[in-house]
Amino acid sequence: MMKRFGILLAVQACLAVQAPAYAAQLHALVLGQDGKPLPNTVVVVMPEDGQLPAAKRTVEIVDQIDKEFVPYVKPVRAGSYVQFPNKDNIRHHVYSFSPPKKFELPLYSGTPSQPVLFDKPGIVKLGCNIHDWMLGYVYVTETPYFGKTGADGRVDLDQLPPGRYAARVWHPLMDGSETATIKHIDLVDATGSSVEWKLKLKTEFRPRRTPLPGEAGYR
Amino acid sequence: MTKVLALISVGVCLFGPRPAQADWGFDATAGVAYDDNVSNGLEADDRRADSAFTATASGGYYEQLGTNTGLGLSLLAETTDYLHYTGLTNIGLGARAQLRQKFGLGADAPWASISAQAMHHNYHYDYRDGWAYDATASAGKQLSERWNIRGLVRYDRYDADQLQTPVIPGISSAAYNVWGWNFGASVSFLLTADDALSAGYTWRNGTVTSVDAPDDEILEYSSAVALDPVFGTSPQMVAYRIKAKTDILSLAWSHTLGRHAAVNLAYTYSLSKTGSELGNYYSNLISLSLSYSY
Repeated sequence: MMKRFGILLAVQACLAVQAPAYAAQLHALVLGQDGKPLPNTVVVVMPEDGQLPAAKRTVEIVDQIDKEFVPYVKPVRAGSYVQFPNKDNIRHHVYSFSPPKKFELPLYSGTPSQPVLFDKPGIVKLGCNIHDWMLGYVYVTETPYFGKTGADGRVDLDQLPPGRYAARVWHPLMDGSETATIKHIDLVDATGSSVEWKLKLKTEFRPRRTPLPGEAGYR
Repeated sequence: MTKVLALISVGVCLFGPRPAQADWGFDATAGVAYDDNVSNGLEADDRRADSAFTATASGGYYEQLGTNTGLGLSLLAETTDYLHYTGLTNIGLGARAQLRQKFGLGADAPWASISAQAMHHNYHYDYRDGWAYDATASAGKQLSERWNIRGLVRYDRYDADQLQTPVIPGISSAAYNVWGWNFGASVSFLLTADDALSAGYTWRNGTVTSVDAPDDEILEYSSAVALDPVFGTSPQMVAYRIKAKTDILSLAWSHTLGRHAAVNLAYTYSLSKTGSELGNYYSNLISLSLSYSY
């Protein structure tokens, strides 16, 4: 009898340290104003009680492939490092003027020896000083609960502690503020909640990769 | 033979052992063009219109010499194939070098470049064969994400390979040997993410070649005269070289097709003013082309 009681206590103790016993899920869908799925949209959920787990120092990757940043949008948690390996057989010169992280990686090939620390939340716009059309974004967020939509406009966030959240989205071309997209969501069980955004987009004007007629371009 | 050796030498320089991280590139265009005055004729009777198939190709590499300085070396090829006046049909082979300097960091940093180009043209009408040279200094700046401006100063020159026996004693037959100083400015505007409009103006001061039926006025003001059968021999026409100040207005629309290609529609109006009794020469050129850049 005492032995069974002891086993029950041990099981209860194990369950207690794994609390919460379930993790909530958020199924996000982001569409453009035309109703088509919108990839490369960052979905962020922030616990309204402000309780965030301690940040882990991770190293994320933003490649340069065929004279483009890959991925185009990279969400990371504040405190993360980002490595910028150059997979092209030429040199790139990566920079950002964005206030959350101003930096410059002058002419390099291969992988820079030191990754770049992104420790302030915000949007960091990337460029290459040789290939002006190259454009990419690092979205730095204070919460570990984020994701990026795929080609189907969807992203699932799981392992969320049950609670009330403020969910918001960001896309490089969204017309309007990120704050205006905030939706308050109660995540109470493991079945998950679905939330949908429809974003109005602006036109992206990039320097042209194909030279204009009569111009030689950068080379 | 000398021309071939010269081009081979340039090719060896370009495509010999290169730094492993040179940025190789290839550009090509193919299209059609219509010119309402290919003869650059003065009188209505002498103005000849024609259409042509055009193609250009260039390949080479770009080497970033320093943080803000780059050198581009390219081999060039082009052809213009006229439908009616086949004597104007020609193939050009040449090379270009461009040194480009950017003044600062970012897409909107101003830049300047100097370039030199030489191309040999081989025409169906052999007396037009020759070398075209130009040296250009240009500068530009992206004013905003949609607006770009640029300006240039260019010296151009054409030297024919061979000269006819002078048809008029005491007057040179180097009618195709022309030169000019060009001062130009252009602006481009991104209408949409894929559509760019550009407009430019160039003022050229130099000499031009025209083909007309000869008369006393033409002979009086010409510095060179040669027989030119390209536009027919009855009546006998002559190519002649005169001094002129030319206004060149250009408008273009370009629509990108994916990352590497674009379709382009361009219009150019040229007005050459002789400042003499000869009057003015003008032409309208419209072209449609598909371009690829890798």
